[in-house]
Amino acid sequence: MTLRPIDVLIIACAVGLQGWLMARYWTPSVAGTRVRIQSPTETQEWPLDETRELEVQGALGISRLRIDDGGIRFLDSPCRGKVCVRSGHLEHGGETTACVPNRISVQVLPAARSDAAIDLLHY
Amino acid sequence: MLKQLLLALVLGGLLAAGAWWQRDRTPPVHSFSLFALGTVVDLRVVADFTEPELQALQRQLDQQLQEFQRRWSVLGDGDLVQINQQLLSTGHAAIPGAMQTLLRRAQQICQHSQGLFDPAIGEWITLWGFDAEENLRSTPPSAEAITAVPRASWCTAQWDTDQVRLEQAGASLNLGGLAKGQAVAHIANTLRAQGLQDFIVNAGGDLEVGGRHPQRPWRIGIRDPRADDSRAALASLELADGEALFSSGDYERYFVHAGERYHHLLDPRSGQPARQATSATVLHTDAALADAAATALFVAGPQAAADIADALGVTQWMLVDTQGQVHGSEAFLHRLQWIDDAAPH
Repeated sequence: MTLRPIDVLIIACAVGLQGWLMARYWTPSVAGTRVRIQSPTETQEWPLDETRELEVQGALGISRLRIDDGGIRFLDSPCRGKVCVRSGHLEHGGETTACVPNRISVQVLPAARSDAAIDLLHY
Repeated sequence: MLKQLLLALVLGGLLAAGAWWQRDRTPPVHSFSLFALGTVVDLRVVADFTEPELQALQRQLDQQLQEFQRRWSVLGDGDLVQINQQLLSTGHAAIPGAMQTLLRRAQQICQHSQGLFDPAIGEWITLWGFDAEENLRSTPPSAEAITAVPRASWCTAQWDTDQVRLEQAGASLNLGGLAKGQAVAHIANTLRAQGLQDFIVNAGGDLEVGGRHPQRPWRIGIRDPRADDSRAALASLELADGEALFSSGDYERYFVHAGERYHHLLDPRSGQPARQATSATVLHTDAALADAAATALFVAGPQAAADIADALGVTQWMLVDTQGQVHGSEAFLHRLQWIDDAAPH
């Protein structure tokens, strides 16, 4: 079997097109939406599709968080203003909150596969 | 037939190889948080870091932020606290050289905004309890207490080399509406100096981006100030390298008393929370200006915001008024991708 010039041209074009498409559109796969919780002593990541309650040791004491319904919320935290508790249920990629006095931050990680993903919610 | 099959196999193999090659060359996005300036600073950095390299970067940035906080915080015993002690007792103060650039900048913005951004309302902020989360009140101060606070504008401060003099003693500075922007710019410049081009520096929702996400431009959602879901986005937009996005909103620090919301964005003309907007957003390549301008536009309200934006050199801005109506510059609104029916009519 011999390749004609037109066959070589087709292969070359296909390779070029494939390279361009990969560079432009390909996105590495990731697991479903997850949440990152950073405390003074550790950083945890959890999936948001599994219900669980977490007790995280912070600078002032223990913050309690709950993962359910595809999101996460602070249930309680040893700070006066309770801004983190008032933040409510976080479920969208890019949403963040923190208990600043207790040095605990929570960030819903964006789903990298989605072209419509929001990296961060500005407020 | 055999030839076509061979061609298909070759193409399929090339596709698979390309996919693996592309995945391997995509650097990861690292996320970590730092605490400073009374907020959390989230960083997202695209880099092929080892864990020790990442930790070293965190330590360096944390040290910079702590130094910045010691200088500009109104709490503790830092440089600004000492300046305020002098201003409160005598009306004049010696300004350390390292602080003069930002304080002169604050005066310029104060003047251009016709006093709607004025850092010399520190005593009012303290009176309202908005200077620290632990000081947040549950009731507003009395009208008598507000008017009793000595008033001196930073717009008219007189400089004599490193000395500054206010119209009268009894006022103090709070750079909360400017220092965060300056800190964000400082961190962004540190990352660039280390050769890191792609990142987001996010200080409590206000941010500057560098470069882009590995697969696309950085995409930022803008919070709806009155959505039932307190974090739902009103719109989104893509940011280019070096652009900063800052908002001031009545949802950030506030308390509710007798059904009324009292928030931290005080009108320098009255000492009361400004009442004509629920949020103001500014996009600019100067993060410090974006920070201060967002405060000024919020206080200005929908009628005066365009003029104030012009005076500040801000061309991309948006304001949501108390009726939920969106106002803003065409240059900014055209960049937004509206979510649901949030678009202005």
